[in-house]
Amino acid sequence: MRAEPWFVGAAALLVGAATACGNTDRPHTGMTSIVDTTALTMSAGGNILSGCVASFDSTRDYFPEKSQAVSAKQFTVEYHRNFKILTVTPREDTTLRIRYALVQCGTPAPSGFDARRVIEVPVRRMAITHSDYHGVIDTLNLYSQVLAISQEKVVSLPRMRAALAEGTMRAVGSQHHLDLEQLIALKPDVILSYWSVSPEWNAPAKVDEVGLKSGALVGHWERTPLGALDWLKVVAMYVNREGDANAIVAGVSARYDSLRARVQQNAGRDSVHYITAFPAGDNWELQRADHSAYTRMQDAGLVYAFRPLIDESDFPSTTLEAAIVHGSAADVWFGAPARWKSTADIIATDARLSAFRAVGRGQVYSWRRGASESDRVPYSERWLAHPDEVLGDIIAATHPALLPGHTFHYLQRVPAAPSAR
Amino acid sequence: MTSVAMPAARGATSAALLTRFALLAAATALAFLLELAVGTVRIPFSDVVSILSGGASTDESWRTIVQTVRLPRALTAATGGAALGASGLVLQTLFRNRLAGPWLLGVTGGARLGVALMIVAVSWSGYFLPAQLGIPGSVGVALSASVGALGALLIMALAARRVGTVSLLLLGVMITFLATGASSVLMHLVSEDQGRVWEAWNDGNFGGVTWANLRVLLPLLLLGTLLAVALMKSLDALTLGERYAESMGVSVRRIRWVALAAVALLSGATTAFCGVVAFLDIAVPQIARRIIASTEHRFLMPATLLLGAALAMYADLLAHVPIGNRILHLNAITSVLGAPVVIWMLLRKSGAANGDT
Amino acid sequence: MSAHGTLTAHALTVGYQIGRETRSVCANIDVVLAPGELVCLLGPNGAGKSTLMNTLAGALQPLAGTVLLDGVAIQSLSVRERAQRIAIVTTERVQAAGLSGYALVALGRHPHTGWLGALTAGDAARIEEALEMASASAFRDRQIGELSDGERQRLLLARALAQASSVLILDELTAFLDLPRRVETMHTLRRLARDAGRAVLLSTHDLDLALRCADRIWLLPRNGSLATGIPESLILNGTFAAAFAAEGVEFDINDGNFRVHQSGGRAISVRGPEPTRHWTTRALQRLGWNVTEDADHCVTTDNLQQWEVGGSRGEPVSVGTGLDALLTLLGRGTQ
Repeated sequence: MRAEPWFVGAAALLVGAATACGNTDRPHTGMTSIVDTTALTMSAGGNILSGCVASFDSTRDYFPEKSQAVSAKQFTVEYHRNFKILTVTPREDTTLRIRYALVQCGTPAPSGFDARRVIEVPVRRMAITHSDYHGVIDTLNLYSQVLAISQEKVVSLPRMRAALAEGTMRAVGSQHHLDLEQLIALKPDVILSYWSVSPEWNAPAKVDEVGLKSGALVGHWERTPLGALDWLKVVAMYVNREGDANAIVAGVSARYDSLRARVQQNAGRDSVHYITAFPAGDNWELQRADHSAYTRMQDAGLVYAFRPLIDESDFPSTTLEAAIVHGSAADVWFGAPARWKSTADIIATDARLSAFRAVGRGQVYSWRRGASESDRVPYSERWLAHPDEVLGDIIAATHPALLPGHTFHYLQRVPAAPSAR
Repeated sequence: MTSVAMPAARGATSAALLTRFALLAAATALAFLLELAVGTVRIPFSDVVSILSGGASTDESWRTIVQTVRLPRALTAATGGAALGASGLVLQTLFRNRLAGPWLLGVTGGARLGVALMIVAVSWSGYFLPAQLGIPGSVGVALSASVGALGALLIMALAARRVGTVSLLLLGVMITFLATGASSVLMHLVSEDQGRVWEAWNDGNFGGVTWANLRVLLPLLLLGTLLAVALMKSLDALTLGERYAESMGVSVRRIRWVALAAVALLSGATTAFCGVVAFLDIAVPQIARRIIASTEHRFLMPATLLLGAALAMYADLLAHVPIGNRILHLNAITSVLGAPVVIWMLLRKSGAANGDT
Repeated sequence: MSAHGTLTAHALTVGYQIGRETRSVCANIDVVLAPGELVCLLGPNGAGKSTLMNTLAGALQPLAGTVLLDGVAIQSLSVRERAQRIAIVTTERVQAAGLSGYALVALGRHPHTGWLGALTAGDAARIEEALEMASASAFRDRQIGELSDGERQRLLLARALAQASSVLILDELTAFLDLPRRVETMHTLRRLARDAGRAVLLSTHDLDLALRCADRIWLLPRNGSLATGIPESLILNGTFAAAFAAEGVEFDINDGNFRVHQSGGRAISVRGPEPTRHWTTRALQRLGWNVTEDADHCVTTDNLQQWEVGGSRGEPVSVGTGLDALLTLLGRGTQ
C-alpha cells in the first residue's frame, strides 16, 4: 500500500496551518488607546475632553458634568469618581442587562467587568453604524471622533457627505456585512451599533475576536420621542461631553414640551384621525403602539384610526379591507412612499385606495422632504435628535392654526394634481 | 469526452493525470495566497509573508487583519469547500445520482434546523449566544447541525428505496423547505427580527468564523474527510449498485453508515458555521470528473477536495471584495457558477441516454 | 472435505419477505454445485430462480437450511472472502454513467486489490484475459451507457471472470445475446468449468442450448420442488415434459422439441426420407394437423419435394411439387 504523497502533504498543511497560527483567539487589548500624556483639554464644566490623566487622584471627581436618563427607560448610568457604569436594556421587557464601564483614560478600571465592556473615555476614535444616530453626530459635532458609519448611500447631511467624500469618514457596513478589515485598520476605540436580542444578528463574534469593542444603541426602541432623544446623552458619555448633551437635550425637550402643551390646550375641539404606511400587496403594516413614533402622534393630539387593529405581534399588520373599514374616514395619511408623486399615483397603485378620505382631501404626506435620492432622507437621520422639529411638522400639518408660519423640515405633502414624470 | 483507459492499466500513473493534479494543486495554492493577500485594506505582500512567519509588520492592525480576518476566512473557505465537494461526491455515488448533494437533498436544511432547535433550547435555558460561547458552544452548534443533517439523510436513504430519481430530488427540495420554514418559526420564538435572521441564515458566509470556532470545525472536517477517504474503494464498487458491491466484498450495511456519518459531519459542521452554501456540493464533483477523466475514487476524491477548496476560495474572494460599492453574496456567486454546470450536465446526451441523472 | 469451489445446499428453503409476509419459493432443497461442472437452472418466469441463485450466492438469507461453501457455512464467511470465491451476474440493469468498459471489468478485481483499489500488473493481466474470454475487448474504451444490452452483458461476464472466483453464479447472462454469441458464451462457460475447474451455475431460457451444453440441469417448476440431473436423464424419465406440461407446453421427447399443446385437428400421416419428412410434419402441425402413424390420409414425399396425397382406401391421389402447393392443397387441419 503506497500512501499517496498529495494526501499526506495536504493533511500536514491543514494541521500545520490550524495549529501554527491559532494563538490569536483571545481579544488582545492592543487595540485600545495609547496613553497620551499630552495636555488635557477640559470642557466648561470640568470633564476631560481629550487626553489621559497622568497621575490618578483617587479623591477627585473626574466627571463633574453628569447626565442621566430623564425620559429614557432603556439605560441608566451610575457615576463613580473615575468611571461611569452604563447599563443598557435592549428592550423594555427583557431581563437582559448589558453593563459597560466607561473609565476615564489614565485611571484604573473597576473590577467585575468583562474586558470587552471596559471602554476608556473620552473615546478618540469611534464608529457609529446605526444611521438613526447620524443626527446625533451632527448635532454634537462629533466629526473628529466618528471615523466610520455604516452606509454612504443613506447619508443626506451635507457635512457628513463631505467628510465621506474627503475620506475622513468611511463607510464600513454593519452587522453581517461589516467590513472588518477597514474597521480594524481604522482602529476605533468603540463601535456603537444596533443591538438585537437575537444573537446572530448582532455584530458578529468576529468583532469580539479581533479585539474591537462594541456598544449597544437601542434608543430607537424607546416608547417616547424624548426617551429616544435621551440617547444623545449616551453617545455623549463616550466622549465626556455630558455638559453639551444636557444643554441640547434640555433645549429640544423644552421646545417639544411647549409644543405638546399647545396641543393639549387645544384638545377636545376636534380630533384629527390619521392613518400610516401603505399596502404591500394585501398586507398593511401598522404602527406599533409601543413605538416612539406612535407616542409622537399622540403628543400631537392625533388619533390613530387603526388603533383597534393592533395586536401583540412584533409586526402588526392588517388587510386592505379592514384598513378601509377603519381608516376611510381618517383625515390625514402619513408615510407615503417615494413613488407616489401625486395622488393620481395613489389611485394608480390600487383603485380601492380612493376610499380613503385623506386622498380626496389631498392630505397625504411623506417624510421625504429634502430627500435628494431615494435613500437619502433627512428625516431618517434626524428624527431621533430633533423630535421637536418632527412634532412641529405634524402639528402644523394637522392643526395649522396652532403653528402659523411654520417651516416644514420633514413632512412633504403629496400634491393633488398629477405631476409631470 | 471519451473515457480514457485506466492509467493504472499501463502500469504507472500517467503523466497527464499527474499534470492535472499539479495544476489543480497550483490553482488551490494560488487561491489561498490571494485570500491572504487581497482585501478591502491594501497590505503589501511582503508584510503578509512576514506576519505569517511570525515576523514584524509595518502596522499592527495589519497583523490583526491577516491573522484574525483573512487567515481564518481562507481556512474556512478551503476546508468548507473541500468538505462540501467531498460530501457531494459520496452522495452522488451512494445514490447513483449525479444531482445528489447535501444541499439539494435537504441535508443542509436539516443541519440548519438542528442548529435552530439548539439555539431555541439554549435560549430557553437562559443563555443567549451559543455561537459565541467559545469551544463548548461551537461544539454544541456543530453537533446539533450534524445530527440534523443525519436526520435528513436517513429520510433520504429510506426514500431512495421506494421512489425514483426525480421524486427523490423533489423530496429533498421539500425537506429543505420544511426545514427552513421550521427554522424560521423556531427563530421567531427567540428573535424579534425574524426576517433578518432568515436572510442571514440563507446567506452562506465564510467570513464569520472565529478561531474558537475553527478549533472545533477543523477537527470535525478532518474526521469527516478521513471517513470519506476510507470509503474511496467501496465507492468504486458501489457505482454498480449495492448487490454487485456486496458481491465484490463491500459490507454494504457498514459502508452505508460510514458514508452517512461522513456526509453528516462534513456538511453539518460546514453549515453550522458558514450557513447554507449553494451548489458547491453538486458542481465540484462534476467538474472534478471532467478534469480528472477517471472514475476511480482514489483520484476523484482528492481532486474533489482540492477543487472544492479552490472554488470556494475564489468565490469567497469575489464575495468580499466590493464591486461597485456593493458586496456580492456568496450564494449568488456559487449559484451563477454552479447552476450552469448542473444545467449543462442535465442536457448533455450521454448522461440522459443512460437514464441516469 | 469438499473440493475447492463446491457450493452445497442442505435442506434449503428459499424465499423472500414482503412486508411482514414471508413467501417461500422453494423448500427443502439438497443440491451440490461442484467444480468442473456447468449447471443450467431452468424454469418458468416467476418460479424463483433468481431468489435461489441469490441465496446460494449468500446475498439473501435462507428461510431454512444452510448453504455451505467448501464445507463452511457461507454466512460465516466475511464479505471479502465470499467475494474472492463467488462472482455473480444479476439481471439488474447497471446504471453507471461515465464508466468505461475497462473500468467496469476492472471492478471485478475489487476483492483482490489493496485499500485504494490500485491495480497491479497482475490485475491488468487478469482483466485482459477476462475481456478476451468474454469477447468484450472491443468495448473496453466505450462508455457503458452507450452500449447495447448484449454488449453490456458481455462486459458484466468479463467482470465476473476478472474476479477470478472458483464459483460463478450467472443470472440470465445470455438473455440479450444473439444466437452466435449465446453459443460462444456457452462454450466459454463450458471451457471454464472443464478446463479451469470452476463451478458455474447459469440460469437461462434457452432450453436447447442448455440441454446440449450443460453437465447438469436444475429444473425449478412453479410451486414444485427442484429436480436435478443429467439433461438426458431428465428428459427420458419424463421430468422435463411434466415440468413444462404444467405450463401448457408440450415437450416431445423424441425430437426434443416443444409444441404448444393443441387438441383437435384432422389426422394425417407423413412418409418419406429425412429430413424432408421431419420438416413437412412440422409445417403440417403448424397448420393444425394431427400427424400420426396411420391416419386415413397420407402424404408421401421424396427429397425432390414431389409429393402425393392419397388415402389408404384407394382414393384419388394428388401430385405436386413444393411445400407451398402441398400446404395450399391441404389447408388448415382444424376444421
